[in-house]
Amino acid sequence: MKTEHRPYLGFGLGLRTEHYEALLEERPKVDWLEAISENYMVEGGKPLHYLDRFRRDYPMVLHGVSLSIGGSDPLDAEYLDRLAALIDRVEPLWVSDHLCWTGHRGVNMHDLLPLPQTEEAIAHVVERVRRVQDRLKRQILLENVSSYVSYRHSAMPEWEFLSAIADRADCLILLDVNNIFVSAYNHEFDPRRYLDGVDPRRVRQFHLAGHQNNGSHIVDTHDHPIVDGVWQLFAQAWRRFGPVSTMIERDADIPPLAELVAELEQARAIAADAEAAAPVAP
Amino acid sequence: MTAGAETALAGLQRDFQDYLLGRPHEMLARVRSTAKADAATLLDVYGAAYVLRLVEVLENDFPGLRAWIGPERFDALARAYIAAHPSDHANARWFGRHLPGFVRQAAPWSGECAIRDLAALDWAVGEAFDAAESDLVTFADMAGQPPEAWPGLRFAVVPSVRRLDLKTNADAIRRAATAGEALPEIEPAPRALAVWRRGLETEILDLEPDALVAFDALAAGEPFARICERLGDFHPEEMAAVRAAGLLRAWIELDLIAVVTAEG
Ligand SMILES: [Fe+2]
Repeated sequence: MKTEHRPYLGFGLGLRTEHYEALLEERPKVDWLEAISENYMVEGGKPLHYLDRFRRDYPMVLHGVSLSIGGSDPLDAEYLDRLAALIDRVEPLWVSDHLCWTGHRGVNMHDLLPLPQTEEAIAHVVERVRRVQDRLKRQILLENVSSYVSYRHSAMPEWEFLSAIADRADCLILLDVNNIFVSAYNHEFDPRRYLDGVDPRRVRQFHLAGHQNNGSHIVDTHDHPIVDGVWQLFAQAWRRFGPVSTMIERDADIPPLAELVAELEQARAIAADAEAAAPVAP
Repeated sequence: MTAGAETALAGLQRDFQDYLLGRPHEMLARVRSTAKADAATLLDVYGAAYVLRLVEVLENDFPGLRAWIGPERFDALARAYIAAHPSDHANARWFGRHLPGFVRQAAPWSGECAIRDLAALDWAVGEAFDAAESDLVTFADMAGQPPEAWPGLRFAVVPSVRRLDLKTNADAIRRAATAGEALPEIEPAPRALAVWRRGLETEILDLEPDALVAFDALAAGEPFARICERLGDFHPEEMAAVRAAGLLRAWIELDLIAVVTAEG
């Protein structure tokens, strides 16, 4: 598997306001940061002050939540202009958003809503990804989302859907290992088949996160430490894909920074073990 | 959209959105049940999250209002607002921007001055928080103005400035709420405030009646001589220019003045 052209940043964290001061004071072992684009699409003040400050010290990527690449409304030109301006400011290593839709008929739901896995949706998303990539003058990464419902008329597994879009639109993939675990549980498929169904050459980044298991279904809450099953899946992903820039997302019940840094150490150790057990081909 | 032009994808999204917005829908027929959960349970993960997420956005943007009316009434207000104003901006940062107008018009909220004042004040502070940066006028800039230029000097305030006219001591309530202190009693105490950002922190300035007139005139770009004239309504003629210069000095000190331009 050829992976030498894939830039590799190591182990990072999602940038959260709760950790601004601790990041500056403790200088923990965090290799890179992912900033939520929308949080910095403002004119000035603290958000941009801290963003600039952290950008000087860390490799940074931008991660959006409202591109609505699968939406049926026209692409939001104002949003793309603002994103382009933020990209000029940050000069991120890459830019990602989610394979989902977030609004319809001009009303935003502010949620990552699942797409039906159909040929129609593939064609629709591919055409929009191409236009976004033209506008932003770069490839984007699309992330697989956690989902709770699957549509009766979906015609293929999610990994085929994601892979077909990435191939035809020539975009990259942000593989959220926790989201694969959550969706596999909710829709009763084998998460290892998901990993096997994705082309390593397309994968640029991993997400890890915690969730909440309600028995009948798992909700992707990002408010807990990462569970064992997700760690195991991460080890399998590392063996299949080789070194991929990995970060932890925590969005609620945010603990002191040191706790997330310790969790990141765990990710490093698991990745090292996985690499030793099954070294990836050069 | 013309009749019949809706794609299957758009039809699904319309139906799903109708479900989330509490309108009639056919989503249950579109979604699979699993061995562990029925379709309604799974769909409800989205239904519950939609409102809760937006309530949380409003809680963060209106801390003074929430502290004043309490979590339960705030929750009811937030849900009424969410139903009346579905989000019209891609960025949730701006979701609450119609709330100050909503509480001015919608019963029962519109009947309470404190609610109207706190909604306006909370939103203004939020706007100042991440408003645009600008240059600041310094004392050195002013010292460089020749005396004959002074009557014609015009100014601009910094872009983060929001002017509010309130009927109550809402600023004291907000200050206590955000500091986690006991809230003061509400008082009918009309006041004119300027909200702005100084460095990285938001500030609130209570403007005296004469300062208010001067501030609004200055912010509107009136020349210094006209500001002095307006202060003549409050002070003896010889004192008006002194007061104007004193106010200007204070506002420069507070990082409120962005631009000074000499006429001609
Ligand atoms: Fe993620």
